Amino acid sequence: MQPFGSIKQFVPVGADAIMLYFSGSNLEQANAACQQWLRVLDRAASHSERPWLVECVPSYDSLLIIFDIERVDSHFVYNTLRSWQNGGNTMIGPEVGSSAVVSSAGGETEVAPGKCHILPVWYGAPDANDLVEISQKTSLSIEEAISLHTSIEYKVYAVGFAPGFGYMGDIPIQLQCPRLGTPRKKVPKGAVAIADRQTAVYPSESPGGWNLMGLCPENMLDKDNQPLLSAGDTVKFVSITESEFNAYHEG
Amino acid sequence: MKVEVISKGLFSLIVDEGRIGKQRQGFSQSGPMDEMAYHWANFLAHNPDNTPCLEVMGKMTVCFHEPAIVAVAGRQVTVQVNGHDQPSYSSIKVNKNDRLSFQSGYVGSKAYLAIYGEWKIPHQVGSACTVVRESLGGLHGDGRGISDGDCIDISRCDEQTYEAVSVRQLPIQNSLSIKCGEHVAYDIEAPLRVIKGYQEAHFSQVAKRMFESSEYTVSSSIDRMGYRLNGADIASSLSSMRSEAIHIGAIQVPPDGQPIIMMRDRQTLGGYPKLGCLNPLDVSRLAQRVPGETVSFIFQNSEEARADILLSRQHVQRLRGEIA
Repeated sequence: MQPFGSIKQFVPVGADAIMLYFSGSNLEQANAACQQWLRVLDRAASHSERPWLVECVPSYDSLLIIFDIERVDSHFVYNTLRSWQNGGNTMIGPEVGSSAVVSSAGGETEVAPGKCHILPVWYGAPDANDLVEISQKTSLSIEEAISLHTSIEYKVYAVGFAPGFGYMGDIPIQLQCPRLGTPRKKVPKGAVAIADRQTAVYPSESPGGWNLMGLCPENMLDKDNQPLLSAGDTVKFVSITESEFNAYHEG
Repeated sequence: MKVEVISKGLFSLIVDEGRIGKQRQGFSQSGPMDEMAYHWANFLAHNPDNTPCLEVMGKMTVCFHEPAIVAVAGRQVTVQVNGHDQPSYSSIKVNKNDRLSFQSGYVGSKAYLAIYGEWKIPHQVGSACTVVRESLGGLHGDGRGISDGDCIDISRCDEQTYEAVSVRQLPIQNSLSIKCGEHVAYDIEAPLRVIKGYQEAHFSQVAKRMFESSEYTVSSSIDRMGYRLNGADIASSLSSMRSEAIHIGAIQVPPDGQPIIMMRDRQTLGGYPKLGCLNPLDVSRLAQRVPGETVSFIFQNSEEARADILLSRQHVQRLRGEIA
């Protein structure tokens, strides 16, 4: 199965699934290409044109396609994607090196959708405070670490590991921080954490090996278990005080 | 109708076919560990697909407050009603106040109890399936397993239906496998079929040969997320990779070289190298193995896997037709 367009590799996964890996000059572009192909597949699925499509699971630069093995095989899936790339579908897959802009058949461009979220953080909240360790690991002061963490917008690259857990990045290189040697058994709900070049908010109490910076009062899952974050969204963290944090819960 | 759990056994939970299309939000696929047994139990209890079942480890006892049609499936399962032996893999008509007990002959294997009717339990994220780690699903919708004294509310089986429905029974030739004519439809001893994939190219030829030619012992670290095996070290040459989707039955190999087969409640994304995936048919068979038992693997290509799967579905359809 030869690669084409922004798909740099087709890799078999099992009897009923294949993996697509995407290229791009950086991770953000590869991730945008992944989101793009996901939308193409979702559109096909929602039109019930593709009863063979069981589920797609996107990640940073990869997209797992699970198909109904009773109906089709991996070659059929490959050929179908290829025909879409060649104009058999109203949407065309992104080209190598393009930004998060998609050409439709009409020649218009459509910017990849994604919500912008502003997430408040009580940095240094006692239940989620590794700021001293982070300061040691990065040789930054605590204030510098917080200021760097709030300095830029992050892209949500993928949602996974646990329901509503959004992998965001990239954090500024000065803040890059290895995982804990031994993961914690319990990280509290709402903990804002960093590891390597990534950052995330723990949607619920769970084990975890990331370095904790504080607590976010926003729910990452609503009462119907719908995640707040989707891949392709952007997130900006803002610093709030303890009393502002408490007011959130009272409000 | 109330079905009262007198004794839950070691660990029991409510399962259905699980959550489809939700892995991109981080929800586990979930579903029955032994899909095959789960489907047979529901079929034999005259339920449509995707009806909830109880997945039970250890010995469970339940009491029926009304007459009901039930079926128990699993690995070498024994079944009793009021202390009298009953067949597994068969419809059983129980009466008001009957007590049903059942268990697998292997501690750690799963038995499935299907009960005819509509289960009145909450659905979350499209399924009633319990995922403890996600606090999702189950009787109370909070991810808890079944407790002693729990009552499950299921629509009543009216007298007419109770009398009219046939007793469906699967031909069982021996305790370990169910056979359909000459063809083995469910054989627990055969090697687990593996389709190479994922980071397969980063495993050496020697490692792959070792994997296929040696036996692995099922460790005590087995749960609904994954089955850790002990045996020949098959570490890959890959030191770091980006997290990506983990498919059911994926053979994940952490740096210690000991494979972990990823099961129903696995996390959706992970960053360890993977050698490929089990043939989907064999996930059910692995799920019934217990600590200390050995398993072996055999590679097959995806065409062979597809042929096996289509053949197996055909057998199941024929068997269903014959005993309907």
